[in-house]
Amino acid sequence: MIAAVGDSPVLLVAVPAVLSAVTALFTYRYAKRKDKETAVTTFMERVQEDNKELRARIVLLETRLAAAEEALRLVERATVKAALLKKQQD
Amino acid sequence: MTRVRLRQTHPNLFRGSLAVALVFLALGLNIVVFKPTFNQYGLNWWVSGLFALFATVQLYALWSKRLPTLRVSQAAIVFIALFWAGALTLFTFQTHKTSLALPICFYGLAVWQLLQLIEPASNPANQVERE
Repeated sequence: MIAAVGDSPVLLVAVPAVLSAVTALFTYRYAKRKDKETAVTTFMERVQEDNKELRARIVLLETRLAAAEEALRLVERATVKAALLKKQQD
Repeated sequence: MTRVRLRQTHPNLFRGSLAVALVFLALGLNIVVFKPTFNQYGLNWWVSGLFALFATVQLYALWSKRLPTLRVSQAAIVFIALFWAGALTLFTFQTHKTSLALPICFYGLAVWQLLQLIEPASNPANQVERE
């Protein structure tokens, strides 16, 4: 078979061309699919990391808000008490 | 377009692709390697020219961090190297004038490039830079 292919100059070029084209094409498609998959995985990991950071920030802000509300309530109570004392003094 | 910082994030692929590209560029520019072999349809010039061209494209892709361009040039070099190795093998079997050393070298180079082609470009720990 090899001798038959080797005898014809066209087959000598065409057979390796077809075989190598098929190999290169399939490998290229595999590499492309793999690259896409890893890019998606990387993107998802980054989104999850960002999500984690945002959640931590939300918890921090909620704590600060609660502290600020508590402080505001104390100030309001103190203001009312001060007003009552002033009224009693008057 | 997404640019992948291969040098920092995947040094193995970067180094391997750079080495393969330089070898194929040297081969492409060195017509002497192709001269003793068969020259059906001026294939010596075509093959060496295409090696030089796609090796340059691969170097450009590495320099400009373009992963799709890198993959295309790698696949093209795999195709040409396998084709040339196959053609040389058939020619050797037909004429018995040359040894199988040269086709085996080209098979080896083709497999080396093939391994770079299937090497993943990034993993979850890697960073992707967006334009």
